[in-house]
Amino acid sequence: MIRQFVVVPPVPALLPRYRSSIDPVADLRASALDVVAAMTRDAEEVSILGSDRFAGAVGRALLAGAGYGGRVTREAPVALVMANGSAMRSEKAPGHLDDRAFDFDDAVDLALRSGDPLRLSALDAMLGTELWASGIDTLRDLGQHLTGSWRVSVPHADAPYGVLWWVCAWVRAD
Amino acid sequence: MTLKLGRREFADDQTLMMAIVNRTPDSFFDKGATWAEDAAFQRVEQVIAEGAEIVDIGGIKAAPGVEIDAAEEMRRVVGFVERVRGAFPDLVISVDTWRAEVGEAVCAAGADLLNDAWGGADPRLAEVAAEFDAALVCTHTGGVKPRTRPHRIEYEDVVADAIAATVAQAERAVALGVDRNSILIDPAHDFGKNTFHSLELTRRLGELVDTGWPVLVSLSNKDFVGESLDLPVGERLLGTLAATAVSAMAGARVYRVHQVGETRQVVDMAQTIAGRRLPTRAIRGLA
Repeated sequence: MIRQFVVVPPVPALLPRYRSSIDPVADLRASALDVVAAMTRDAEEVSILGSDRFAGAVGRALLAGAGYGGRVTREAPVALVMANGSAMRSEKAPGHLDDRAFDFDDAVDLALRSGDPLRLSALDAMLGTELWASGIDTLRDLGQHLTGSWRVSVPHADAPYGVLWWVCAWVRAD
Repeated sequence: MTLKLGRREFADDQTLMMAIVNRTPDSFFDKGATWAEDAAFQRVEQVIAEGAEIVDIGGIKAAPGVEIDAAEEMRRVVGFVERVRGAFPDLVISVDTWRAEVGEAVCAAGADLLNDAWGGADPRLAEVAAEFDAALVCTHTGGVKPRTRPHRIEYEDVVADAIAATVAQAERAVALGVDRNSILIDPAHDFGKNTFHSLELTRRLGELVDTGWPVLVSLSNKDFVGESLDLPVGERLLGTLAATAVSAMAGARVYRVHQVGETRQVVDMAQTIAGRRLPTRAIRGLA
């Protein structure tokens, strides 16, 4: 059973092979590495969850960058949940502007900050797909399986390129 | 290989711009624009602002013309080197000369690099580099005398000849005491070569790079560009930049140029394509 997890976006720019000399995702990277390092410090195994084609690669890159040397397994008590909000928040966003993006992202934001698994289970995965969000189905599944109360911190929430990213940690409180 | 140019060291993945600064009344490209010392100094300030790591100061134009003896050459460059050194303590100062006595004087005045553009015409120049711990450019001219034009020169293999000559000069310089990390080789486009020779050197520049010695190229606005495109001096920038891109892909390290900013962009782009330099800031499609 999952005891703690961190939501991070499967942003390809986080991969070593897509490195630039001026890091375009420096703030996200710093925050994600901080939280992943904290969440995996005493872990022997970690799971990487998410449906995005980059989820596994970015998750492994973050684990490596955070200095994690343990195993990556399917059902560990610590998880990286690779998810992000819509990619349609501006005319220059990857998916251009869709006015539904803001309400959708607000709903995900509230659910992530609530610490309430039920809120996660109620997310609209179909709308998420239409708005090029990622990992919403994974968050829903997680919400359906988690119980108890959770402490939440959200050290990073930003959309500098029209895609809403969170770095959000959930830790079982009881 | 780390490149040590006098007081500065450069990592082996770093490309360098060597800006031409003429203290001549008659050089082919600028036609005396920096003959006056203050104009030459302004040119130094300008190329530094454009990002040049090296200035190459010359007191004699390469083409035939009025004879300039060593005393006059020194009058043109030594005091100027001193002035530039005083103003820019960290700048790499190169002097384009074949004469050992001029080399001695400019090194004493603060030069870091001797650009022996006439391929060891005065063999004592390498000894001067060793004496002052200066760097040295070893060039290929096919054995012609300084300030002569090529006339009916032929090579069995111009690239092999350029490699043999420059590597031999480099090894000799090391034997004389020049730091192995302070030597560049230059195939010297158009020096002792017709246009076809210079084109072949450009096309096969990778063979010079494969020697392991860092390669300097001096392509800027030269006649092989002009003859290839039938363009006069003043209209050769695009052709120069095309040759520059090819040379950068092959792995040239130092670019002796008139136009610093344009060349820097082209070299950086080619290096990025070659995978030797990261994009500056890539996010399109990656957010």
